[in-house]
Amino acid sequence: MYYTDLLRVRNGLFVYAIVIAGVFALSVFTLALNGMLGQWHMQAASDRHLDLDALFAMATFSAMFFTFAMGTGLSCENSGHLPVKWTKPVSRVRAALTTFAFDAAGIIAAVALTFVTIVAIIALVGGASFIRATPDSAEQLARFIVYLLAFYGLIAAAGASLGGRGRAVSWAILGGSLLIGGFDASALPKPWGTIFTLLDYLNPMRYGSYHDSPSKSETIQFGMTSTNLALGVDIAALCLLAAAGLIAALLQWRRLEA
Amino acid sequence: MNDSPAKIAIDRLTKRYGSTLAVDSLTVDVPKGSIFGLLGTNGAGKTTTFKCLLGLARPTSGTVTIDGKPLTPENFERLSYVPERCALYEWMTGAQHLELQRRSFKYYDGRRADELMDLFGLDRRKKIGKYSKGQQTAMALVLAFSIRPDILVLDEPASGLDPVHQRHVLDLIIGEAAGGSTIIFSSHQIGQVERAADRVAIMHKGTLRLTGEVEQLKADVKVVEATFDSEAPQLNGLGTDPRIGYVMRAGKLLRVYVGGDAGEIAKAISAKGPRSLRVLDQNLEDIFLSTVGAAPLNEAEY
Repeated sequence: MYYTDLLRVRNGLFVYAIVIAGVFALSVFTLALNGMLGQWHMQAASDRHLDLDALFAMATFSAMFFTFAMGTGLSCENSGHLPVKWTKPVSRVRAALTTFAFDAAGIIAAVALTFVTIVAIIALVGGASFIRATPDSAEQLARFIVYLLAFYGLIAAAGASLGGRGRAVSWAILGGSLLIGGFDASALPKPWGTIFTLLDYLNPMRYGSYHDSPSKSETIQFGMTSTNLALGVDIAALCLLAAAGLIAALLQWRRLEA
Repeated sequence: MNDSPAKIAIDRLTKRYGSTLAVDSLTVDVPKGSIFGLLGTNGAGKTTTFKCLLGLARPTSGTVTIDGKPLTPENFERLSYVPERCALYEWMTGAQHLELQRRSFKYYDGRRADELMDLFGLDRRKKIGKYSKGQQTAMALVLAFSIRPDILVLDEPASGLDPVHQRHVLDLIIGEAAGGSTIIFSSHQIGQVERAADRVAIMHKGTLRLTGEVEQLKADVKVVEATFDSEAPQLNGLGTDPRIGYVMRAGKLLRVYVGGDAGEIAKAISAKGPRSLRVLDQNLEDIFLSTVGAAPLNEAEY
């Protein structure tokens, strides 16, 4: 039953790996051209280091494209394949959960692949020894994974009943998230300001900012706004968004007709 | 009549899409081990009936049961469906579809699948998107027959196939039924249905117009066919005979469809001096055309 999902995710990862390999090759070429291989220039002061969390954030940013491109598993099935998908001896719910599981595994694999590539590039310039884990690293990694899964949930919910249009909706969600954050940040007059602030609470980008801990002197934001809440709260909010999206997708999937 | 218990029982099935009534209170029993042909013009409700039968569409009202019970996912272990339009994954190869089938069905028979791939001349390395329409249909049939199904639901199974492969499909259907499978299929090629099916149902505009055993339906009405040297004559009075269903006149040819004994009618026509005259069983095409109201002439033209 899972074979189609396995192939679909595997093919997606293959294409993603080619793109990442291309970026890696281009990076190595550029670094070599500028004589920077093995020439790490960061000041060796004891307080200077590369946060592992920042590398997670970079890997997550790249894996977002994989998520938006590949997060349309249900809508792909709903573009003419339901008579095949639904005439297998498994329930619709189980079939959908299998698709979710493989997509999630693919997203995590995309993050891992990008992370390894980033570390490899840093190692090539001789900076690997400056990479440091922070006390938050594990939680930050969890946050970035659920950040992508929250988007996956939204994409699944929006596209489950749309068939072939699911892919377009997926990219519209990315644009919409940026716009909502932008409108929220620009302090529009009421009622628009209130509406966009409320909508932004449902925007995963709001919960995806990375602060350079513990000083929070540097921030990497995926969107235009951030919460400034405890990391645990961000993670909980993202988990809620992911769960709500997947449940909404599942409910639609159960009601669909071929 | 076939007295064996119904393998598939469709009871007062109604399916509405908005204001369109696709199927209207359809009741049909498909006996175990039978080949059941579902006939109808485009839009008659055949595909919708199949979808409701398989749980792909929700009936507005009515029920469908298999072996007396509602459909469950477990039924699909031994139930195959070939939809009218190819639903296979165009980005997967033939071999990958076979692998999907192997992993999904307990009773998958790899040897049979290989035989059928060879029979239809399908290249398993090719992606489905690169197959012709006929090859896509053939691939769907290979997958359907590869699980040794107990029930086969085939919507236009010979669509796009060449005559040789159409014949293979008919042979497969007949062979599967001989092995105890129950088959329900639709086709616009009435000759195929006539050759394979032992029972038929004719649908028109969502309603069931006629159902029964093919041989019985054919024997119920006789065709008196006469050829004249000049224009076929008027029947003068015979047209009001209640035994006559309808009359077709085309130039020198006269065909009269008679319910029950056709002897007297044949005698009356013989008196008009035809060059030749014969009494035949009607064929399924005649039955279909008269049932859906597409007979060439109506009573007013007797």
